[in-house]
Amino acid sequence: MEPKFFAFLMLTFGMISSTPACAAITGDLDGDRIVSEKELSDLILDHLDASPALSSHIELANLRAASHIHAYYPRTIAGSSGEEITIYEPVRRIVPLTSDGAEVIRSLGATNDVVGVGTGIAEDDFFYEFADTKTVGKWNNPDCEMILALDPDIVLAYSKWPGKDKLEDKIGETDITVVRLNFYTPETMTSDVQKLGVLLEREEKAQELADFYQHYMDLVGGRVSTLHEEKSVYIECYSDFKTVSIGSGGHQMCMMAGGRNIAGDLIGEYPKVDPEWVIAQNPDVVIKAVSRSYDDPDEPETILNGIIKRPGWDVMDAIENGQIHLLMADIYTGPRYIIGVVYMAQWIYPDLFADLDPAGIHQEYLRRFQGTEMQDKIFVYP
Amino acid sequence: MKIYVAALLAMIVFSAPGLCDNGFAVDACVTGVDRTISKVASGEFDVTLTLDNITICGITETLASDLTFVSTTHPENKVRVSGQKLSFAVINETQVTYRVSSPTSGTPEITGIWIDLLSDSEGAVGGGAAPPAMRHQTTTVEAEQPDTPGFGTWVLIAMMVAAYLCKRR
Repeated sequence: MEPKFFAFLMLTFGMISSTPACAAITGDLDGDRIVSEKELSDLILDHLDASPALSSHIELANLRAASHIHAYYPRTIAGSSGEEITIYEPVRRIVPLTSDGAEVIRSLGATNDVVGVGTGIAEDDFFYEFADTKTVGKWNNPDCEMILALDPDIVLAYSKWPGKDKLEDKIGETDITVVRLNFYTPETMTSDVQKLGVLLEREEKAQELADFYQHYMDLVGGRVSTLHEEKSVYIECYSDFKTVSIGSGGHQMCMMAGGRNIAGDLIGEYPKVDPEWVIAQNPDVVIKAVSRSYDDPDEPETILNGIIKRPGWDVMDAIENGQIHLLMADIYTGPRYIIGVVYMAQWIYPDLFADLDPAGIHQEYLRRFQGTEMQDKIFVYP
Repeated sequence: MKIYVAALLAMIVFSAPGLCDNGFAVDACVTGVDRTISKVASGEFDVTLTLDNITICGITETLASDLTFVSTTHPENKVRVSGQKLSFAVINETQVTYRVSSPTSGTPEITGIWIDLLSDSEGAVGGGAAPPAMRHQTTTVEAEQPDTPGFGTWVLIAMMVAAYLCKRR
């Protein structure tokens, strides 16, 4: 038996019985993770030479898989921090740690490849399909033993969280690739979606989503570019008096909506400010991000009243003019940021954006990309 | 009435199998391997295999017993010769040429199959389905294909019946 043919048989039988951990790449005979033209040529010739008795479905399936890998892999992208991420074969097992990542996976139509999720995703009824999926701990502190047990091809995480010491260092030298993409910064959302599309071979779906973002970005951007004077906006994060500055998603959304972020010059992405400083800035609009959507209007009403009744805030123009709004996390900075931007634009410039229907855009997104209908929840208030 | 018939004919044309997945018309996406044979010297023939829309392909040619393989311009490491059987691995190339010698002056008898390895398609060189005897390696894959190809035929029949009924009115 020729050595090459023996190697081919070993590979074929290996593919049938091997465990997923550290699995060889189909068609890669020398272990360099690449299916070279020579390796593929040998496999094709071995296949064509094989006697009928030795032929089987798995042989041709593997040959097709090797051909696919030769033609389309490796695939390399830059992670959100600029690091190079290379995938050597089709991704079939994904573990997203964040709901933002899970939402983009759903938009790309890859939920069937998800083998494990961060606990928050499984607990979120928005992701009904992952309710019974194995969980791997928190998005910023995952259970790496569980991740190892699930043996995913990729783990999807933010660029900063969890730290390398909590993920890569614990996973160690395995075939698991950590893909760090920030699906919480609007300015890089489109490119991050496209990058994940490349890794998952779902470029068309990624482009469809990118086009959706671009359409509404152009719509809003075109109108705000005609403004002669920007209105001032105070954006408060989930924690009281924590605002947003350059580099944060909230700041980017404010800019996209044509607002002037009163904290845009402060140092740090999420600086903390004094209540008196906000009063002194006297913003035209106050937007408070809240960490979840609500079923009952009493809850956001309570939050809203709490802000209105802050000592001394009643003198601010925003409060006097009823220009205080709550924006729920679902449509703030994540993959649905564009809906939040449209709401913001409408709040800041009601006349300019009177004809837009942010709830309708939200519904369009959910139907087209999430395959679901709008939940009966409050996403903005009032 | 004419407009109804024209509309139905248009529907038949556009719904019948023949559009590629990418939406190109039939001629733009024909997949297959053609063979042309030309005499180059007394008793010697050049056989040219031309690939249409196939990027990675396996081709097996079987020469009649009176033919002898002489040479090929295809890279040596992508060809195997075993008796009357020639195997070619074709990657990012559109043509394969080889030479055979024949004791007779008639057109050499050659049969062959091709497998497109980036899709599920396969066939006989020169057109048509791969002969059953040569398809031992691919039959199970065919069984995997979606079980809906007959749908187009039924739609076609239904439309023709509808057209007939319209005409009768």
